[in-house]
Amino acid sequence: MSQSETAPSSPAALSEYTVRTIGVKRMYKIGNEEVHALRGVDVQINRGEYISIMGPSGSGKSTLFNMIGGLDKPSEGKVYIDEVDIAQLDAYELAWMRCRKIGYIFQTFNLIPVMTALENVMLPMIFSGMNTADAQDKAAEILKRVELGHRMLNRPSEMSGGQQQRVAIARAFANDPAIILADEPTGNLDLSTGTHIIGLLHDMNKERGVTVISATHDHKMLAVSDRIIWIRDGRVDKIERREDLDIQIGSIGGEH
Amino acid sequence: MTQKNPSSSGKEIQRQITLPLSKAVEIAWKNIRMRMSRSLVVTSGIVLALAFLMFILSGDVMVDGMRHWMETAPASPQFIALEKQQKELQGQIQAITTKLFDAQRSKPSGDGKPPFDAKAVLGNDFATLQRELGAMPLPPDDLTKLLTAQADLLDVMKNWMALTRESRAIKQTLSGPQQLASLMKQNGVPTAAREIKASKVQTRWLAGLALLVAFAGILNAMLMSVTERFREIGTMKCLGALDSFIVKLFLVESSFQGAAGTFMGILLGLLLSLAGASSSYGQFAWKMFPVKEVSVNASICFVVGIVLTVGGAVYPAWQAARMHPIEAMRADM
Repeated sequence: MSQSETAPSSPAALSEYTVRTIGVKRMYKIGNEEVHALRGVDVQINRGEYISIMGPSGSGKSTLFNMIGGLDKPSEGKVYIDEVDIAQLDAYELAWMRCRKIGYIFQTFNLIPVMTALENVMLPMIFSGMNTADAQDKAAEILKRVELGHRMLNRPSEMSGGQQQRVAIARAFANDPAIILADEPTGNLDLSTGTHIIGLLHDMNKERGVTVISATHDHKMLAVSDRIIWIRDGRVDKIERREDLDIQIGSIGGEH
Repeated sequence: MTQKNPSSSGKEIQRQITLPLSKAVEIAWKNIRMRMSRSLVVTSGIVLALAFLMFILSGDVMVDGMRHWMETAPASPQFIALEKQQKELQGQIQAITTKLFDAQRSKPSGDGKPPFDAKAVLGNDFATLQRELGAMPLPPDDLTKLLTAQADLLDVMKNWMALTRESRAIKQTLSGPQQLASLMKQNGVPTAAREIKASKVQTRWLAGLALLVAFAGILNAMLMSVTERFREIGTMKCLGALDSFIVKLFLVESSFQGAAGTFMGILLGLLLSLAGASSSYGQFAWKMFPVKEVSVNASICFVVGIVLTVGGAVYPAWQAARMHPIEAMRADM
């Protein structure tokens, strides 16, 4: 399920791409200077894949990540999410997509501080128009899945970083999205908590067939990723499969 | 999963639904409750601003009311009749005395009628009469001579005396306005028409200033409460909140705070101006309390308070809602 490494030549396989970018470029103007964050990126991400986007800061990694998440639009080129060109979407359709198709996980957790864990997980369901009773049941179920059944009525300030991130994961899965976007999900966590979070994401990726895309510096992520996209200077440096990774892991370590 | 969401498998993109206002109210209410201390700070700013405005406005109408009372209260018909009668008698006295005086000048004294003993006729009243008639055009010495000469003048005078006492007694009961006038003078409140006009302009300036202070305070409070939640707004947008929902959320929240703060501010301002008026004017503050004007002012203040609060929140909320989700996320708190 996770490894649909079919050649993209057959038309049937096209629909298997959850995310596809074609010649994506992104320029920013800072004062009079033009900054090229992306200089033409082509990637295809299959349904149910676990992808890590790696790269040094300033490589354009975050920009590509935001592009894939529908948070930013390309200056040139196309981004397709579920075969829909996101540049064509209006504000309502983008909001709908962010609500239903994409689940976001942030480095800083970004839970709503005034809401309990349960209410935080319910929020995207309420935005999708689900009634409160159903949302409550479903949110409780997901929270139990991330082993937080006992902390449902606690607010973020009463929880540890790892627990907060698990609430955030539950929230990202709330509307059964097609894609989970995780931006440095372990960046603010200690080693063992980070490992736990990565394991949880990986399990849920396999269990639900959701595509997980994460931008990260964390090398623990590589072990569970199906593919790793390396970004450098606004271009795809290399794309590695996990099978190949075992051979190269020494060289990755050697880079630092 | 209790229910499978069709969206994750379907290819079709739909439009995000607009959430009902009740949802915004629900979340806004939760926000206010949870951030009680923060909302109290915001609300207290509104309270102070509106209290200032209400204090200025209601103080003004209360002074107006007292001034009105002062001008209208002495117009009792009895008093006016007395004053008129007194003036007539005074004229009579004047006429008789002038006549007598002239007559006496032309005739040498000592001849004719026997001397008339004024003291015997008037008794103790004579001294009083002398004292009270001190302001008369004739000195008491001459008057005594005249009184001895003319008995009908004495009648007129006695009459005049009685009327003076009566009108003075009436004046005593009606002395409120005079007391109030002196109090107003003490407090530097103008009573002359031209001065009143000038002070009205001054009051208007003060009210305008109060309004400006209120606007700046409220706008600042609203801006702060929005900017400190940029990250939250960005998160909500990532979770599928529409811009309009974010705006709605902040408008509902601010109108709650605005209504509560304005109400308390009006109450506080009214109490302060009542306390101020009763400490400067005592019982007169309640003589003619302008209920209608004060309630009109209170409603004006209420509308102003709500409009300022919601208006102060519209701009930052709209700004925040328009922001790109990533920009909102980037804002480091």
